[in-house]
Amino acid sequence: MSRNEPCAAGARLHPIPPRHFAEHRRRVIFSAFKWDPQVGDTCTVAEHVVVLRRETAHRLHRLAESLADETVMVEEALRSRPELHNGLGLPAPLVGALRDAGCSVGRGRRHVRVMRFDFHPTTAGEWVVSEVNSDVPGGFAEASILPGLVAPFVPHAEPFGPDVGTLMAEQLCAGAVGRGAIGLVHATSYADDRQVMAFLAQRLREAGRLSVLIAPDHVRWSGGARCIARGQEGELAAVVRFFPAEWLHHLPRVSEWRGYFSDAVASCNHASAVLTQSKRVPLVWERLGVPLVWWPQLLPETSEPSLRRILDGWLLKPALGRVGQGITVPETTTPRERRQAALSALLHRRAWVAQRRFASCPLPAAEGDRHLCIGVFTVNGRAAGFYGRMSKRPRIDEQAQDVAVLVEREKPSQPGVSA
Amino acid sequence: MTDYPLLFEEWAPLDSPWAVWAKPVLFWPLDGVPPRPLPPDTLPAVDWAPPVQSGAALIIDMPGASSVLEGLALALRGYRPIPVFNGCHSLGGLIDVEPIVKALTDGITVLRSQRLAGDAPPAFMIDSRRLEAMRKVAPGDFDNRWCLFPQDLPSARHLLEAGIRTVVLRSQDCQNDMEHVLVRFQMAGLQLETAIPGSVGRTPLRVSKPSGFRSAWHRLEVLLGLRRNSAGGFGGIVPEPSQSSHRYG
Repeated sequence: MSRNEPCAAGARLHPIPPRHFAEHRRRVIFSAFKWDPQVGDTCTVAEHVVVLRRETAHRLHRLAESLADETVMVEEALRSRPELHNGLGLPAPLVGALRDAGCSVGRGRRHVRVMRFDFHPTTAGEWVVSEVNSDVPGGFAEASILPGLVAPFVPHAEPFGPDVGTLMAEQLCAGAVGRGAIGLVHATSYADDRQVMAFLAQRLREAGRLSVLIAPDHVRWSGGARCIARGQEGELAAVVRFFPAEWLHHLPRVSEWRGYFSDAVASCNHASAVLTQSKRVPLVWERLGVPLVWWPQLLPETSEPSLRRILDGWLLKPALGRVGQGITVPETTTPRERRQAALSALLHRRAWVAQRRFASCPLPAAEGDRHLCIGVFTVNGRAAGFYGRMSKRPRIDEQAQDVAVLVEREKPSQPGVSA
Repeated sequence: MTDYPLLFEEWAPLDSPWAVWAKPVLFWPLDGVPPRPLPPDTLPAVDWAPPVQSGAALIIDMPGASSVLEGLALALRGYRPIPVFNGCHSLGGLIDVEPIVKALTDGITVLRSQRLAGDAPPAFMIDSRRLEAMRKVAPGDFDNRWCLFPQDLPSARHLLEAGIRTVVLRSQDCQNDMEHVLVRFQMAGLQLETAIPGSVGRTPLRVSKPSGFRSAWHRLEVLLGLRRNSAGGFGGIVPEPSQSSHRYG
């Protein structure tokens, strides 16, 4: 495969002209809310653009929408089956909060449901899904803004589909009841979380809605949701949570963190989304009675961790791992780390899952091959944008670069030629 | 009004190889005021610093704006001050970052006057109060404390390849998160020195491996170990950084 040819799965890399890159990086920082453009010695802004074939882009969006439908069905079924929650590897306080909240919470139409499905091209020319970021997906600003910034560098390609930030803002405004602000809840000590919420605040402002950037325990839940952050006190019309549900129980009891499991206010995502965040969900598919078509086709085979699976070269993944953390890809972990993971998985099976490894198809670039992951967001079931990340190694983790994704323009039909 | 992207560009110019480590957080659009030139006697004496050709990188870990002023004084000696402030600006924040923003804004005239060489060695500026609250933490406070991680600075390998042989810490003490950074430098063969404010000159620095060193779960451990306080930030427990990210999805 030459550098300009798409791989069999329909993706190729296009370089950003080196003379423009430094300025591009600066624009990404200030226009695309990229406040963590450097991690150690790695620039997290890619020097390339991913260009997808048009039919590939449509296919990925269709697949994401199908997976979103199935994920919602699985979530519905799981809410009604509390006896399965322990097996998902959720912390005990969360299992208690889910049980106490009951099976009807998180279902209303006013809640906004955002997910991100991570697709990878394989050497077989197909796409596989490594996971769904069901609870707190990130990458909204990158997916929404980067394509527009790189479009001038790539002739014959353009941004594709609705942008996730705008779609989220529209849905939040539609779901929010009353005139209160929308609470953008995040871990306030981290600039890289702040950047996500600052972007959403801008999109909400453009949609005519006030928001407040607050911490998880700035919300009080009696009789709705109320913000107690100093200088920003008041009723909240909706809550957007960028703080993992499984960490909520680390907050002090006085914070009323169990309120995130209630239906007191429109939310995005409702805390019960943590049910499908667990990578152990495939282990209970058959017990849910939900007809699944796409998940079993697109997700690599998944099982309980066992010595046999480990010796057969299956990967181990933490049940609630995020951003590639703890996944035992041999090229990215030391033998010692893999031994430790194996021991932990065998001793604490519910905290891990074993998954058959897929062969990621790297895309050629002048600086060397790059492995690609394309996250497709869905907002209330509708696909929105692409969040591209790529890495020299076959694991997409915190060292990965954010890469804008464009789609080939439709070829103009030739005059005089009828279909 | 100050144009903050342009201000950032002046502190992190494209021709400096160290500029990529500059943190943009505090340069995010604020209701800024135009820079006012610093009075000439504002900048401290920095005779503790080694000559600029000696192959040293400096880490200025001092409280708030004094870190910026120290960096500007070092710019007069040929060092490239790099802002590595990573705490958010917010209403009711536990750390007042306004003095830092003001120093970065007003100090720009000093920086402009220097026309530093592209290969000027770096002086990384950090706020030593990053883990300290100005007041007792209460519900409703906004916790903008932050923690330095090894990935916030260049690796030892990168420093060595750039000809850096010594790293000098300018600070009253070596905080826990800084130990995680410096011990990596030490293990890679970089010489460590410390220059304590109020003392004369520099002394060799030896850093012991902090607990939790190179834990595979690094930043996640920080978050989980901190038992987030009422503001959703650090709970006052000194974090133990390692290598991975805390990002979620």
